[in-house]
Amino acid sequence: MSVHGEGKGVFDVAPLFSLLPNYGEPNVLYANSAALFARYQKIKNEFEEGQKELEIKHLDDPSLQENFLKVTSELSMLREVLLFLNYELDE
Amino acid sequence: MSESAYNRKRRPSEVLRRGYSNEEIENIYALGRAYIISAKFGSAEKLFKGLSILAPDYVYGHLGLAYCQLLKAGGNQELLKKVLLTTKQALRIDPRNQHALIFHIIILLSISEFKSAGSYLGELGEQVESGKSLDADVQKFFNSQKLRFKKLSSKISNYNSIGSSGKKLIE
Repeated sequence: MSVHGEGKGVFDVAPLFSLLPNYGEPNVLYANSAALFARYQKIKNEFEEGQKELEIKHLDDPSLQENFLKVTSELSMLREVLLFLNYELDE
Repeated sequence: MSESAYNRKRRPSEVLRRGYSNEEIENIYALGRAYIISAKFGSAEKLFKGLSILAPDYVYGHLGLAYCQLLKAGGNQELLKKVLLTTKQALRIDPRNQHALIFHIIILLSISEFKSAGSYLGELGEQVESGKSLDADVQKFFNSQKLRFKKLSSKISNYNSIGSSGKKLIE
C-alpha cells in the first residue's frame, strides 16, 4: 500500500492498521437499524433546511457553515451505516 | 494496548453523544475498520469523519480518520499537515495514548518536523522508562521510528534544532 516520505525515510502506511483496536462485528447496528434510519431521515431534513438557509441568507456566516458541515458529515456517516444494513436510500 | 482510551470506565458525560450510545459509536468504528479491511477506504473515511465530529472525545475515531487520510496523502506534504491536525486532536483527548503518539510521530518525521518528533519519541521512551510497558505493535513502531529518526536526524546540519529529547534518542 501507500509508501510516502520520499527523501524523509520510506514509510509504509498499511501496517499502522494494527494500531486500530478490533471490537469485533458491528452487531449493535443491526439491532438499532430502525432507530438509525429514523435518525437519518431527521438529519436529512436538517441538511436540506441548512442548505436552503445557507443559499438564502447566511452564505458568509461561519457558525452556520460549521454547523452545516457537521450535519453533512453525520448524514454521510449514517448513509454508509444504512447502506451496510441494506437500506435503499435516495440520493 | 493503551488502557486509557477505551478500557477505562466512562464518564457520565460520555454516555450519550448527540444521541448516539457508546455501543453505537464503537460499532460504527468497527464498521469503519471492517471497510478498511475490504479496501473501501472512501466509506471508511466517511464513517470516521462522522465519528470525529459526533464523538470528538473518542480517540480511535480520530485515529481511524488519520489512517484513511494517510493512505490518501502519500508523500503530499500539505495533506500530511492536515493529517497532523487529526492526530493532534487525538492527543488533545489523551496525551499519553501510545497509538496516537505513534501516528503523530510518523507524520512529523514525514514532514521533517524533527524537533517535535524527537519530543514525542522522548515521551514514549519515558513511558517505557517509568515502567509502563508498550504493547507489541507499539514497540515495533517505536523501534522503527526511533531508527528512522536517528537516520534522518543525522542528515540535519543544525543538530541544535532537534531538541534535548531528540538528542537523547540519538546518543
